[in-house]
Amino acid sequence: MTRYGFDRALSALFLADYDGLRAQLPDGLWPLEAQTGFGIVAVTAFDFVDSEVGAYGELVFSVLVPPFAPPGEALPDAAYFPFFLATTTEASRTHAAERWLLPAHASCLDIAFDGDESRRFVTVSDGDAPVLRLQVGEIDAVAGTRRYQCFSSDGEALHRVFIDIEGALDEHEEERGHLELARHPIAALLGDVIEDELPFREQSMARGEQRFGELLAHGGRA
Amino acid sequence: MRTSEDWHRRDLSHFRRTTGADLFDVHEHFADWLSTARPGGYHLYEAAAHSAPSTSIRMSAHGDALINLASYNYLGLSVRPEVRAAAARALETYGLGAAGSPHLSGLLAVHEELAEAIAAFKAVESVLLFPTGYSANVGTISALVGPGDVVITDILAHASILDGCAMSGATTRLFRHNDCESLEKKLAGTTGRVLVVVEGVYSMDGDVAPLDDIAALCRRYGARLMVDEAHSAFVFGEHGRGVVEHFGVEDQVDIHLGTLSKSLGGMGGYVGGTRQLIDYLRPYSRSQVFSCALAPAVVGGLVEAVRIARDEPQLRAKLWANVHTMREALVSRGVDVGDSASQVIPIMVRDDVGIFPITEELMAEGVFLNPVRYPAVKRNQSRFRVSVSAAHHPDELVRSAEIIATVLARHGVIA
Repeated sequence: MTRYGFDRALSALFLADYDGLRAQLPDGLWPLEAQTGFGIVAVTAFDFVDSEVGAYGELVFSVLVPPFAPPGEALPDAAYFPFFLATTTEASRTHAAERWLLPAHASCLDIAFDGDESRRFVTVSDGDAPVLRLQVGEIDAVAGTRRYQCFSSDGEALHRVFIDIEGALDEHEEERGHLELARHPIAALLGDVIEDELPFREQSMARGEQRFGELLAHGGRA
Repeated sequence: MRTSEDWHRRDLSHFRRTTGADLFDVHEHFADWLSTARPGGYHLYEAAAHSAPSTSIRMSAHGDALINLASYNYLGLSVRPEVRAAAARALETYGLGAAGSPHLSGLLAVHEELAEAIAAFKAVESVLLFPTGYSANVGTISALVGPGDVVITDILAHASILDGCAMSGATTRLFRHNDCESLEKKLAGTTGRVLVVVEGVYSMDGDVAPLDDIAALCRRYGARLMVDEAHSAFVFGEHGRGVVEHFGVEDQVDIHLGTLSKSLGGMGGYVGGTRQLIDYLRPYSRSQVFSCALAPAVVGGLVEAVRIARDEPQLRAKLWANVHTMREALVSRGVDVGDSASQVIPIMVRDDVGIFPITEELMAEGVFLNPVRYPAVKRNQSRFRVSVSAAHHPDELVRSAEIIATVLARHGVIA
């Protein structure tokens, strides 16, 4: 079990072009359809305060995929394939890539959280160049847990790991969020596929912990 | 050990797909969940009625009749004696089924009679019939657009519209619900041939598309416009020609689509437009070509239903009076009915779990309504969807509103 304590995390889910998302996935995975012809892309940011690589910020773009849940195994709340990950420190980038085979960006980004009890923001920039600003509305956070499944690829094979997140969770579909994308190659990864800057689901988490299980070979070629 | 509370954490969206060695792997998870979700509330779906879906309905063989606020029978035509008699005559003349595709042996004179009656009613040159409203959307869209084309549709568009888009291979873009600014943004960012598809009345909210503005945008950007009037044809407009008549944009709409199962109380779908358009769709709308033609008894009844809808405009007047009565009765009692502007009136509950016991209490007190919850609507936007009919007696509606308000107050949904 690998633990990451966080002070704040924001996530927003967007409808996205199915074929555009499919292109981000390795063989053996495909987007989960939210509606016919549309998949889901998640933009997630964490403000980690306690981990084996210290404190750092993290930005992840993921495609939601069907979970792997053979009979007898627990069905997770959702399954993700991260296709872009950036952090604020070199140690955390190296850790994400080596420990979890996640697609870490080549350089550090600046990731800053702000907001109040009703609106939370994360602002991401690449040096002086803005990348994105995500707004998530917060309504009523309550203590809770979620179990997710995360897929990753080493370029040859797929892997999977269960991730449990525990903390003060707020999840809703009240359309209070917004994603502002700057003219930046990282932002273009989203701009090319999402249908709208308005997320259909928003999640805010505070004072919690993310726990990774064992990374397992998923089988099949990536 | 699974407890009865566990099912709350899941919904139908969780079991749509899994990966794994066997296609059927997900079935075990679903069965496990359903074993607790069904007694928890999902038994309320697909509950068989034991009577006609009239203004009252029996949900058990020997149970009391409930006031029916759930059926689409907007003009009460499904149970009109003249409609039943016409259906019986068609059954006697043609037998049970059409026994063939309309493209080959299945087209009967009664089908042609119905198509002509709908075309005359809708004031369009020609009409093509489909086995269902779903197949009308799928067959029409997939016949008209293909790879390289673009369909722009409302984010709340019916599943049949989205499925038709996917089947066509065209690029599909979504605009925010009834938001012309969002539509224009999509139109402005699109090149090539574009089809805009909207509904006249949206079935979950009962709100009406701003068709005048949408039609103007389509003209400005050179896009074709298709309107699905499943819930608005035969009830909206002075002559019942739908939201297109209500907004005075009939000549600006290229494709008029609708169902035969709602205001007309039968089954099937239709698409109307120019003769050239319909002649083209006839061989290329695969959902129609490769289906058996509509059952003649249904079609015979529908011919009579269209005649009544044409000759009895007072039915529409009664419907709108009933809509006014019901809306006032609900709103005056503090019930949240959203932005409805039609005979479809949502009753907002906003409690995805609590809506099930509320439904059961409403039924125990004599009102039949279906719980609508995620993923049919957004999370915590669960609601009941009242379908007002011209056949309802105003007293039934007021009595229903009293019961609804009392039960909602008992559950803390309203003060």
